[in-house]
Amino acid sequence: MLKLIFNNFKQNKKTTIVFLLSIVLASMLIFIFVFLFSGVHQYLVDEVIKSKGDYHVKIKTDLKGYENFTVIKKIKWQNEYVLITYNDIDLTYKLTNKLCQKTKCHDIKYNDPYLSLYGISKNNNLLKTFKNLIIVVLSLILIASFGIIYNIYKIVLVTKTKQLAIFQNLGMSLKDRRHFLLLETLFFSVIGLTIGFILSILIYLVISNFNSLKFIINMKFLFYAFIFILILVFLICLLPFFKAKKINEKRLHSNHYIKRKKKFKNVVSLIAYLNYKRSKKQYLALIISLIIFLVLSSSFHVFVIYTENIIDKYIKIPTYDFEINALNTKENFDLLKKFAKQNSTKYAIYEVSNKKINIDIEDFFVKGSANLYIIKGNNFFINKREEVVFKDDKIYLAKQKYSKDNIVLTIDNQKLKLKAQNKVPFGFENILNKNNLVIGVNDYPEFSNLTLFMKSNTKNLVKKLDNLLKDNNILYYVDASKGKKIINNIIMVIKFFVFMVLVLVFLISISITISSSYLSIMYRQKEFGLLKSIGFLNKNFKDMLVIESLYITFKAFICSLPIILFINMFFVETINEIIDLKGISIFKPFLLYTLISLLTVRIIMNILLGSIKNTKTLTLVNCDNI
Amino acid sequence: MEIIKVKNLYKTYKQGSDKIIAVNNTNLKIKQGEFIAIVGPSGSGKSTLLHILAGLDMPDSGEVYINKTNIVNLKGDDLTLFRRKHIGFIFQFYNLLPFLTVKENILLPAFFTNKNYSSYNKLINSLNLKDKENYLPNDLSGGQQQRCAIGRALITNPLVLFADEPTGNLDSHNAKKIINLFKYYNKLGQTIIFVTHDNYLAKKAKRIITVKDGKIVKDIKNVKTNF
Ligand SMILES: Nc1ncnc2c1ncn2[C@@H]1O[C@H](COP(=O)(O)OP(=O)(O)O)[C@@H](O)[C@H]1O
Ligand SMILES: [Mg+2]
Repeated sequence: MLKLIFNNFKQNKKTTIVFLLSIVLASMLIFIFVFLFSGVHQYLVDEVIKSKGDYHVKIKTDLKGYENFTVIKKIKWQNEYVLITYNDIDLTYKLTNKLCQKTKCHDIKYNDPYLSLYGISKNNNLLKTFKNLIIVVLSLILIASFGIIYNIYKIVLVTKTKQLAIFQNLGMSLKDRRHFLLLETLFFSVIGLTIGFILSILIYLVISNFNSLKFIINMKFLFYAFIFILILVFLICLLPFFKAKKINEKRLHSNHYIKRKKKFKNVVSLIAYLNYKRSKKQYLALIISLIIFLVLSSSFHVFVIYTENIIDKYIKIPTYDFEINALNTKENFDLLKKFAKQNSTKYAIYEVSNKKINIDIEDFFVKGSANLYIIKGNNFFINKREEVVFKDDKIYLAKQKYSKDNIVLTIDNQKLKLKAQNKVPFGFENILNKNNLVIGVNDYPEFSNLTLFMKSNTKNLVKKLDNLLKDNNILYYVDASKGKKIINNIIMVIKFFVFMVLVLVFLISISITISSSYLSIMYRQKEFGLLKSIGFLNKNFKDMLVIESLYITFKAFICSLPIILFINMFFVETINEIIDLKGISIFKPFLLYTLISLLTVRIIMNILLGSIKNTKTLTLVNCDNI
Repeated sequence: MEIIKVKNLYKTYKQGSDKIIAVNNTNLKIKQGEFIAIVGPSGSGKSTLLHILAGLDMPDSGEVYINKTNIVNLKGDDLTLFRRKHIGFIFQFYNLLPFLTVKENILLPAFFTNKNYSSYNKLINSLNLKDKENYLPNDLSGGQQQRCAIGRALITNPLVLFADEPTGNLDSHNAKKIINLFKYYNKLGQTIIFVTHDNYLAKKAKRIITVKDGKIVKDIKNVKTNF
């Protein structure tokens, strides 16, 4: 039997290799995603453990004897609290409730950031949302991998049905044929899975080289992935037995005549049009893979844009390492300046007045209050992020761009003249959000505070700052450097993850497009040979393929449009509303990828045409496909 | 007037470690208006010879002059252009484009040459396909498909019409019809060369060339053509 499989492989090398490739690619898509996710997940867990500790729950209790519970993995005492790590993190809430029924618990504190990474926190919802997003992404990937294998297999089916018919003629029973097909499928899926698995590990190792990601094998995930692909391949490969009959009937009844509404002056465009119209299997496959490519890539592109925007909007990373506040006196100013000059790489000292003001912002919050930082300086500026404009003595959220006119704002009966400017001074960047507004003016009665923002590499600066705080009139200082580093790392890893997923999806769906265009040309060798024997020149072939790739891309575009519209309506717009982002749409990436797919199809067809050009007409004519 | 001149033609195929000589040092001259049948046992090199003459295949060595052009020296588009102008070819398995109608299949080569294809009506009537001109090939019988292929080969008024076992896939009645068509066009001045292993059909030609093991072993004028 194996010999037969091997001989078969030798005979149908090209289609078999492309089929194998589709299994490899589909499994790579799943495996690399699983690896990336596990790696990023582990990274986040490590970061949380570093800053919060690895306990699951912290309970204030007088009772001892927790060590006796077998469900507990680790236990630690910290002042009056007992820090518990369970064997199974999923059961944290249930087991804690049980524990607290048996003993008295005065205070229960869950390690929410840690629990939320496993999607079980009841308080921290942001990461839960992230998990849901991952599930959506994963299901997209699973559907895509089904599409990939199914699509390619449909092409292979043509060869396969013929083959099975030959076996039948040779006297192979249905049982034998099924046996053969199952064995063949098993053979190729195991090979494909193994190759895909190994390649995924290699690629992941290369990727993680650029990052501090670890290589984690999550056995549960991996097991599911393996099973999923195996079932997928088997289901798809057993299709010929269900479909063989139907195909024959269809063929008998189909009327090959295609109505032509248009008159074609040019025979090249006529043939291209008819080829497209009859939508042979391999053509359909190409169109389907283009649709997969368009929908997946555009969705993931939007996913990346979202991540960037959410991070930009909700995670404010200070540009400074330390913020130091003091009363506005001459001595304090000199002291801060001296300190900053000695200890910083970059600094800025501002005279500041903090106010709470009422604001009236359309579409945003109807009436609310905001922290207003009035700082002394020549550069007048306004809130950059939310595009706030001042009008008369009210503040509005601007839909239009900044106005360059002078604006008069009245605060405490003081008329302040402002000029809008799209520039934020050092240190205030992360202060600019919903509830904080910053303006700069020259003339204001009362700048009560001094604020120093500085970047610093100096070691033991915290000690120096503590001394400064003790000896002088410094009010307080904020050390942003540590948190900044952690946030920066996390953001980098998440951005990297999302970007890698996009790259992965792009590469894999484009290779599917490549392989189906390859097959679609290969299946037309005979047709090409015939046209050549009749008098088609290379230029005619080229023109024909240009028109065909236009037709195909156009059809893929039209077919994916409803899906894209659906995604835009039910996902993009909803998400935009929820996270308060405007102007993000899937259409721009969609157009971009349509263009890319057009180019890809053109280039591949040209390359393949080149290879056919060098094949003898007779060889082409003698191919048994058309 | 000689329109085809073949000099020292030689063609081999490699099959594993064996070397098969398909055309062995063949020399041939063909005049305008001839009606030639090439016969011989299966595997004797008839198809290979015909393919080389029609520019579909390349010999290892030798020269093939058609209208004083050595087509062995032509390559790529030049060869295609030459074939387009001067050569019509008919395959055993019709090789029509399944998605084009009979009319479109026949007119296909004429689109390129920009020649006036007013001869179409005459041609389709002589092929007895007028009532089928809007059918697709798959809806036709074998004989009808082959007649369509003849139409496609003749629409450009080629210098020579080649046919490789044009009747090999047909019953004797349809086969006869095809050869009679050949005869009819030959009478109108068309040069025709066809391959067959059916001696009865071969006898309808004016000249019969017998090939064996790649060599021409017999080349006779058939004075008494039977009908
Ligand atoms: N593409 C090929 N590769 C290898 N051998 C070939 C090829 N085409 C033909 N032959 C061999 O060349 C010889 C002549 O073939 P062919 O011209 O087809 O003979 P005929 O048409 O008279 O039956 C045969 O022995 C055949 O096996
Ligand atoms: Mg032959």
